[in-house]
Order: sequence, then structure tokens, then C-alpha cells
Amino acid sequence: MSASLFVERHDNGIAFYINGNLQFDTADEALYHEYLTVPALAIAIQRFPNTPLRVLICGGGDGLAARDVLRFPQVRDVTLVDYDPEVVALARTEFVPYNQGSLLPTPDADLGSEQVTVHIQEACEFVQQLPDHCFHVVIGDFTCPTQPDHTTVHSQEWFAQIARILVPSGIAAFNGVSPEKTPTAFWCLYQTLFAAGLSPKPMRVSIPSFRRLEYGDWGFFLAATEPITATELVDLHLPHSLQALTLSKLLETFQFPMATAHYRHGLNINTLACPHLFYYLLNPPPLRDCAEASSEMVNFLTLEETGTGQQSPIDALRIEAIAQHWLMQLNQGTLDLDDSQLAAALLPVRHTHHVPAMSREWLEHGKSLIAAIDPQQLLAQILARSQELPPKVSQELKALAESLRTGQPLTRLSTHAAEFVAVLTVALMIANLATPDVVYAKGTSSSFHGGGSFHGGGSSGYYTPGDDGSYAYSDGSPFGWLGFWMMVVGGIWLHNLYRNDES
Amino acid sequence: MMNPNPLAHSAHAVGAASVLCLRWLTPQDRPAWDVLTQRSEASCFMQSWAWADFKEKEGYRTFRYGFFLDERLAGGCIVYCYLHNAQVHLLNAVGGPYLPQGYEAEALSQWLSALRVLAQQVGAIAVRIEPLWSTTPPYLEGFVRAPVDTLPVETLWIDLRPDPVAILKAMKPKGRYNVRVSQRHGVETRFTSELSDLPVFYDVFWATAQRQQFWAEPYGFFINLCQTLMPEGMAEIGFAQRNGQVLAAILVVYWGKQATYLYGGRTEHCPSAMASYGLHWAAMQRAKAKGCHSYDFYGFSTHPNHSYARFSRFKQQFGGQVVTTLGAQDYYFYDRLADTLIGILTQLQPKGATTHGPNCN
Repeated sequence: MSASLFVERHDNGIAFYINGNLQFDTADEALYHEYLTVPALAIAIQRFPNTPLRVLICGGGDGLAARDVLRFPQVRDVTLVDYDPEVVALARTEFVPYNQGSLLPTPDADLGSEQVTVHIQEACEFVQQLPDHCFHVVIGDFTCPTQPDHTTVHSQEWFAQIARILVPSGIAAFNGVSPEKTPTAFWCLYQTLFAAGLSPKPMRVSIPSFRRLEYGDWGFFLAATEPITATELVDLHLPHSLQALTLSKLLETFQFPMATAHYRHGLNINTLACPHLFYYLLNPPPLRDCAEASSEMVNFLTLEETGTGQQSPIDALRIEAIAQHWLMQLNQGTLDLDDSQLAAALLPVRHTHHVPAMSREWLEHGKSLIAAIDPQQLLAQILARSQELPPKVSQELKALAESLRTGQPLTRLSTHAAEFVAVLTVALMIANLATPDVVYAKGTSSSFHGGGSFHGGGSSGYYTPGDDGSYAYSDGSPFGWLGFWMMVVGGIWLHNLYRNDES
Repeated sequence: MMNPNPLAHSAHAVGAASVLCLRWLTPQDRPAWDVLTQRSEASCFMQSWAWADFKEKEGYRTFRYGFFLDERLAGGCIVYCYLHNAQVHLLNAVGGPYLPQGYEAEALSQWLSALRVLAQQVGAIAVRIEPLWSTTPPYLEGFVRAPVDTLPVETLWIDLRPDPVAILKAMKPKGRYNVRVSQRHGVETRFTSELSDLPVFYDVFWATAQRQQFWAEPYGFFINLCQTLMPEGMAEIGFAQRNGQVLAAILVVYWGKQATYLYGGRTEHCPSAMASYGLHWAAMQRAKAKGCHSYDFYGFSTHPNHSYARFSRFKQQFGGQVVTTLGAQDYYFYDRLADTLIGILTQLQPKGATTHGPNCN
């Protein structure tokens, strides 16, 4: 799928969107690009005195990062690799007034563009072909991921490649995500950088145009194989011609509220096999009430720490991972209804158009989803392949099929029969919620306020776990938000089937 | 879209001379496809070629099927599927299928066979159809009512065929009155297919969604929609403004003989000017001038507890006819669903749990 580009014109400039996400607004893009590029260049100049610098920009096809890199006379050459020729074409036409012609292949440009070589290629492919230790500075300026495969350029494997091509002591700078709105995603990147052998310094910048679109504060990382010290940073010499960045402002960007920073531990790192970054982006922890949030700050300028990221064997958005969480809840018999992380694990958001509340709304449709399934047909299909199942599962499903066939009372659901109902529910939910448009549906088969209530119609029966691992059916009491919803639904489904058979 | 690839499905209808054949539509079939879907009684813009292109920009894969009778395009369906990393998908036939007249049962049977193969390829467990049919035909066997409808099952159509005086006369008195109120307040309307007007539209739409508390599609959705449909002449944005200030905005889609009010909203400025009334009245006249026979308000309910109730009170002031369709229907591929569940159940068993040996029963 090619990216969708849109240039929005306003009185004093333009705003540029890729796939509907703001990339820059000329009113304040200097903030973004100066914080992304200038500190890395300034540190490199300190680390490599009297050395012509080689700079690689990955992404950044709009030419704005290249413009700021070219401010430094110490830069000998700039290599830019971007996969999208349309963005680079815009950089060479509509964006020239803003990037000062940084990517123009002619000497007419304001900037010395003969220093810049542009490659239209996937950055991963390009970097893999590079020899070791060939750049003093690498800038990563990619769009925020909107699909799992976009996280490739934020993976451990990618950052390890960057560490490989940097000269020893070389500096990398990366565009991150919002530490305010998506703190677990931001700190996932932080931990992933550690896991790739880079030592990151996180930065937090407030960009008005981003804030206006509710993107929150924006995050960047400075990183190097040789840790960046506070002494290096406080002694930096910045160019005089900057619009937004000053040394004192730069030093402030390393300060993070504890309310945000405390999320940085216990996270999974982002890898090619398990793109956890995407999960964290779509399923952030709830924003804390400002009044409740502590004013305590963590200063990463002076903080020296090592990585604590974990390598998870399974992508949290895969159906097995989600089903595993459902079964754990089924077997535990308790549920913390206020645990939003648990809610996200049970029914994670999986599309950038969605928010957690949409997934929760969909729980109301579970009853009608599962009621539409013909259990006899389904069990017949499954049992025809019973050899593929563990014997115990197979036996219990056979018993369930027999009970349904003969109309026996389903007063107890065996462990595996209950798990089967739960897994079926998960599969139906995921299949529906994975379709982005489904949350904007223009109606439902019962489009009434409260009409989809878990308690409405049918049966009020439910199942509770017993000591022997089976689930006993009982009547009565109402349920909380998600409290054993799957058993309620499963119970109603089977109970109604039984009642239908009776009638 | 999949590469053109003839499907191995053709059959003689019982008692008919024509040969029914199902195959992928190619870009060469586009004109015939668009004509067919525009002229159908169950015409739906979501089955247009351009809409499918828009959905591809949104990340969907599209599978465009055509039924041919003696090589003449006689029906078909564009199927949408959003592939993701959870390994369980739905096939969505929003606004379709279109089944060849006289061959409905055979065509549906052929198509479901083809979809079963597709489901195997893409990991889908069901197909959800949403034809704009008013009744359930007898050949729709094995389908069950879906939990949600992408298209509204109940909507309000304004007949645009009479002259404007008659259309006004057919409105409720309050509707007619408010149209005149907007005119007296100097509300002006303008329609545009310039992308540069999109940000203003979206600001109004977003503010309305926040105020009315409904989920709003993101800006990128509208960028893709307008970038795809506006150059085709399929979509326009309409504004109602007074003294240069935008008071209301709508997005209208044109397809066949129908104009559909798909999205819209109003600002909180000057509610007494009744700008939305003036804007819809202008949109109806514009649609009529374009040759449309009806203006679809896209969702309506008289039930006071329905989520559309608030919007419907406004819409019903324009008069019109309530149109009801049968709603989305799901057809499950039980073999695929079983396959998915077996895969999960097997993977979730604790290590050490074994499956049956090859010779065990």
C-alpha cells in the first residue's frame, strides 16, 4: 500500500500529512528538526574534532532534517535514504522554501546540495549493505508506525544495524513516539535501544502543532555505543542560527515526569518477530489525572542505567496470546476490573483508527456473535479432526457434542469445554474487531442504547469455576464490566441451546 | 487487488441457455461494472470501483468478482478484507452481492464456493454480506444476522424527481420553515471538490463528533476518501456559511441515481440561522441537477431509544420515505473456523500434552 500524502495550505505556510498523520507544520517544524538533528551533530563534533563528518539520514525525505544537518560546516557528506519517491519529489518542489533546497540535485540550491546523496530505497535494505563503522552520525526520521510492519525500523535488529555502521563513539538520533500519550511505546523504544547495544538518552519536546492534534509531547532519543555523558551535553556548542533550540532548553528535555518515566521497566522490546511497539502504541496505559500525577521528575541527563527490556516469544496481538489471557482469567476466577492493562490484553486495540473504548463497546456484541454459531456444525468439523487435538480436549468436546445432541442438561461445563467456548468467543471478536470500519458501523442488529446489555434477554445464568476445574452453572446475580463475560456469554449460548432443544 | 485469475466456476442454469461464469473483474471490466452497480435497484456506492480503490488506500485488500452470462457482465461483488497479524479475518461484501436475475441461487452457490477457497487463502472464517435488499430471498440459506451493519438498515430517502416546489411541499412544515429561516438569515451555500477545503470540513465534523459523542473517522480516512472520490466526481463537500463564517458542512457521495449524505456536522455558531436546513436543501437541489432521483439521509430511526434518534428528528423534517433493508448477514465457513480453533487449542495446551498418534482413533 503506497502512503497517502496531503499538503494542507494555510495562510503562512503548509502542513504535511502522511496517511493522515501530521509530519510537520511549517509554523513550528524547526522545533522538531532542530531537536532531532542538532544535538547529535554537536556531540559528534565534540567527539570527532577536526574530522569531516559523514552523516546518514534514514527517512526524512522532506529534506528538513538534511537542511539542519547542512548547517554544520564540519559535515562532509550526507546520505539520505527514503523509500517514498513522492515525498522526495515534494522535497524538491513544494518544500523547497522550507528545506532551502537541501535535496535539490542542482547547485542553484541555497544549501550545498552537492554534499547530499539521495537513495530511494527501503532503509533496512540499504543499511544492511553498508560496511561496518562508516558513519559518524545516523539520524532516524521515520513516520510513526500505523501498521505492524512499520515497526521494522524501530526493532532491535534495526538498531543493531545502526550500531554496526556507526564509527566507534558515533552518535545516533531517532524520532520516537509520544512519551506522554503512549509512554509504554516510548519506553519500549528506550529498552529496545539498550537491547541493541546502544545507550540511549531520552528527550521530550512540546511541539504546538502536535499538541493541537492531541499527539502529546513528542519524544526523541540520542544514542551511542559509548554512553553519552552529562558533561558532554552541558559543554555542547550549538550553532548560533537556530530558531528553537538553546542549550538550556536542550538540557531540560532530558527531564521526564515520574508518572511517565515509571513505565520504562518490565516492558517487552520490539523485535522483527514480535512487534511489541505496535501493541504498546495502540494500547497505552490510561492517562493519569493531572491532579493525581506526581510532580516528581526523573533527570535522564544524569541518570545512568542499563536496559531492563524483556524478549517476549509471542506477539501480543496474535490470537494465541489473546486467548491465553482469556484462559488465564477463566481459570483464575477473579478479575481486576480497573486493570486497563489486563483489559488491553483481553481485547487489545489492533488498528490505529481505534481506541480501547471501542473494543469494550464491542463486548456487547459478543452475545449475538456467539449465538449465531451452530455448535453442532462446528463441533462436527472439529471432532472430524480430533486426532489433531490433545486427547483430553478431544474427549471433553466429544462429551459436549453428545450432550448437545441428546439435549442433556448442561449444568457443568468441563474445563476444556469452557476453554473451547472462550477461545471461540475470542476468535469471533478478533475477526470482527480487526476490520477497521466495524467500529463505525451505521447500526447494529439491536441499535438501541443499552440494548446490547450483557443482562438483557435470554438467560441470566452464568458459570463459576469449581474446585475440580469444571464450571458450575448457577442463576442470578448481575456481572461487572468484564467479569467473566466470556463465561456469561458461553453460558447463555449453551443454556439457550439447551432450552431450545427442550422446547 | 488480486491479479486477474479466471476462477474455475461456470455452470448452465437449469432450464436456461446461458452459461453462468464467475471470474475476477479486471480493470477493463470497470466501466461495465460501474454501470451495472449504478443501475441496480440495490445500488450501493460502496460497490463502486472507485470506492474499492479508496478502501485499498485504507489498507484493505479487495477481491472483485464478476458473474458473466455468455461473456456479458451480469452481476458480481467487490469483497473487502483487512488482513492483519491475528490470523483470523472476515470477508466483507458491503453493499453486495449483485446476483444475476434469474440465476440468483446458482450464482450465490458458485460465489460461496469461490469465497470458501479465498477464505482458506487469507485465513477468513466468514463472509458478511450487506445487499440492499428489502426482503430475505429464499436462496439465502445458511446465513445468520450479523451483529453490526456497516450500512444503515433503516434510512430516509427524499424523492428528487418532483419539481423543487413539490419537494418543499412534501417536507414537514417545520422543515420548510427552517429552510426559509436559513435563507432569511443570509446563509449561503457552496459545494466544492477541492481538497484544500477538506481541513475546514474536518474541523466541523470533528467538533460535531466530540459534541454529539459519536466515533469519528480520523483525518487520514477523509484524505484518502477525497483524494480518491473527488477526482472521479463521486464526492463533494458542501458548506453553509454566513458572513464568511462556516456554520455547517456535509460530505455527499453521488452514485447512479442517488446522492448520499455520508458525513456532516455544524458548528456552534449562530444556531438560529438553521444553516443545516439550508445546506441540505441546497444539496438536494444540486443532486437533482446532477440527475439524481433520490437523496439518502443515510440512517434513520423513529425509535426514541435508537442511537440515531437525535439525528432522525432533524432528518424527518425533510419528509421523505423510510427505506428498510435486511441488514448484514454472516455466512460461516465452519471448516475454517474449526481450523482456527484447533490451531489455538493445540498451541495453548501445556507443554507435554500430546495429540493422538497417527493410528489412534
